[in-house]
Amino acid sequence: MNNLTEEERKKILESSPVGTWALIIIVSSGMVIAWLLMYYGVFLPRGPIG
Amino acid sequence: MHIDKLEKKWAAISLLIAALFVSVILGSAFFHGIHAPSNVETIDSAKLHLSAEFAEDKLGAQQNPDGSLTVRMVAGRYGFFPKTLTLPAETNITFRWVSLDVIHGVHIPMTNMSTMIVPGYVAQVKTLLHQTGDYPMLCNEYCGMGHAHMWSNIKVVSKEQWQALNKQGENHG
Amino acid sequence: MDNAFEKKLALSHFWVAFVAFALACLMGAYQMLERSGFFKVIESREVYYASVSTHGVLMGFVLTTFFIMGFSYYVAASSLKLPVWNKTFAWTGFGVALTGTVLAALPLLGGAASVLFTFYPPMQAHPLFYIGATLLVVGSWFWVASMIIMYMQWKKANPRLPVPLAMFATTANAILWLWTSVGVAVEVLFQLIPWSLGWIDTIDPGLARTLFAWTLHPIVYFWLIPTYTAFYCLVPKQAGGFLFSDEMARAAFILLVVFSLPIGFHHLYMDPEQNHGWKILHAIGTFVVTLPTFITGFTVIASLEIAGRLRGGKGLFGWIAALPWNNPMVLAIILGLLMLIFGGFGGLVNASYAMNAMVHNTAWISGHFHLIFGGTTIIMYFGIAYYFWPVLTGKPLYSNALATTQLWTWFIGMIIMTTPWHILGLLGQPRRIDSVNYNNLLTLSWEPYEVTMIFGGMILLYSAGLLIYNLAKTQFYATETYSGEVEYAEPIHKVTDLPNYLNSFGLWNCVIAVFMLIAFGYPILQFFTMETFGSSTWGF
Repeated sequence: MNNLTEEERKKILESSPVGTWALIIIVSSGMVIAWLLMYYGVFLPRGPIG
Repeated sequence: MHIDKLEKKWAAISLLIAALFVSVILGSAFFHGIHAPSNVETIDSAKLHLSAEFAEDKLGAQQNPDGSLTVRMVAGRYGFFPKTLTLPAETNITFRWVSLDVIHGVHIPMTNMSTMIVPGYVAQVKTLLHQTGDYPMLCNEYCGMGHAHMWSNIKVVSKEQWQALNKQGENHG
Repeated sequence: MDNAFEKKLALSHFWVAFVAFALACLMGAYQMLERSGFFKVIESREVYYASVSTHGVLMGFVLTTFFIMGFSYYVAASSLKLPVWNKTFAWTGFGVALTGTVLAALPLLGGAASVLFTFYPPMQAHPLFYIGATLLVVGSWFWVASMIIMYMQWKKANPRLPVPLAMFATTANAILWLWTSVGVAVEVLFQLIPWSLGWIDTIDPGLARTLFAWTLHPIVYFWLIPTYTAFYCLVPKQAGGFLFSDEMARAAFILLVVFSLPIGFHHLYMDPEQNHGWKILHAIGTFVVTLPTFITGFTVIASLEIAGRLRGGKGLFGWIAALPWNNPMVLAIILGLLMLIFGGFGGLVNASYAMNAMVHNTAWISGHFHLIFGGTTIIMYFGIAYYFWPVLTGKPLYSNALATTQLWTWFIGMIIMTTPWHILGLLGQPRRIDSVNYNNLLTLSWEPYEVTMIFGGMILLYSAGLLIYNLAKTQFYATETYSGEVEYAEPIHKVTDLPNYLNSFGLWNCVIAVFMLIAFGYPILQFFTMETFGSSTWGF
């Protein structure tokens, strides 16, 4: 399992988490779009409220 | 203190996302009057029948001089009173709800007519119903064993139809 | 250090929690079948509402409080390498809480407290229910004191050193719970108990709802922080990696505690007793508290990414498959995070002030909290249980395969049950109904979702059975021994000089006090300055 060199290991530990970044940007964009769809597509068309 | 550069960027982005939601909400509120129902007004729930506003013959829909409607309703186990209601579409309606017993909640599915009804308080919500048709009006807060049976059917008709109905002398329902 | 006492203490708490959980699951399954309308022979409003009330109390108050106390006692002892502060004190707290639970269970099971886990007046339950609930909370305050004392003992003995993260989070949670419980404690002590005993005749439901709302939001963070503690302090090690950032973790825990408290009015958006100015203020605060969760997502997933890459995962997403999916804690976090996406999204919708009208008191709400609490929060409680049981009992886990099956089935069952539940809410189905009786075509559109939910519920029941079976087999039937201890994750970058504001709570308690005064001061005071009319007593 541990077939990494000391150098490769160090590189990973110092690296920036690009996979996490990609994942979280995709998921959060989805959430923002979904929220806007709910707000302008379902909620407001049902009528004003106050 | 070491913070990863991508994590810093993400923190900024999440702040922007939260700010986006808050600005849409505040924009709706301050420019279009879109609010949660929030008129703080107390009333004695034990004496509704003696009150000027919620005596039985005052309940239901009443047209205001500016063409809008005020609908006064009483919620009590297990129904909404008056039991029948006909309302005009595309008209500003102010619902004023009181409870004669416990906490109820009421909503008309597919519309934004939704409010809690807390005894001791007049719950006021202003909305507008876009579509004509038959709608159920349902209690949505547990109020006892009959909660699932607490409901009415309401009719939403066009403005013209509603005016015609009222000319014939029917004030509510 | 011999942790024999701490192990026994933790296990006792855990068993109360999981027995409560098992009973509540049975009730949940019954409720699902009763409500579907397909099994007329079991239909009964009285039984249904007694069941819902008991199910809610067991899941929301008993499972949680006891699990959290048990977990926290052991985390405190093992991370600080200190014995529990005072054995008698700890057992007394356990006893008081357990007594309270049993006292409340009597009227609940007997149908004399069918007021649901929110118990809004003026519907009145038997006084034993309120007294029992009070004792449960008072018992938990013994735990709060123990945590704070142990934290202070360690700080005194280790001046200027960073408090071990797991204990920092645990102490934060204890402080949070103390602040949180004030709302419901005031409601119960000054309104509900005197009223249920007949000492006062009327009660103001608006004040009661406001006080309950104080507790109702932060309590979910009280439940969530142990899950996040596992995310940060246990999972990275189990995944074969390191914690991405210790400092960001501390910042997240502090933000969670400070901003989860002054925001309770998002539970009162549709209520008449509070003005829209206050509701807007709480709405803004609610969006602020999303930030520590967004940050937690990043830190925790980044830790997983490092672990996956160290295990050979390559490319943008190769690290995901490289993770040890057959490790129960790792599997629990993966499934938990997936559910957090949808549960969190639902929370964003609920938080959105006027948009709450679209979902308030509909089936969407029930779907939401089953997904976020029954899903994300509780699945990590299971992960913790699988990791802690061998440590606490000294016996290896009976079956790792059964554990991973249990986690997968919990996830699948939860998705199948809660997705239709959300849709039913958008289709206008109200909450807390025991059957569908409306003479309206709309209800026909609800039926396929109701049927689907039953399958989800049945899978969940099966999954709950697997959990109890596995834990019981481990503790009572294993023949081998296990002598491992809890291993806490190390941060990638060793924590050198930590600013004091990330290592102590004095400043934050002051900030909380100010926030609470602003957020709840006038909204509670108004009930005493305006003319209000109390409600008389109603049964159910």
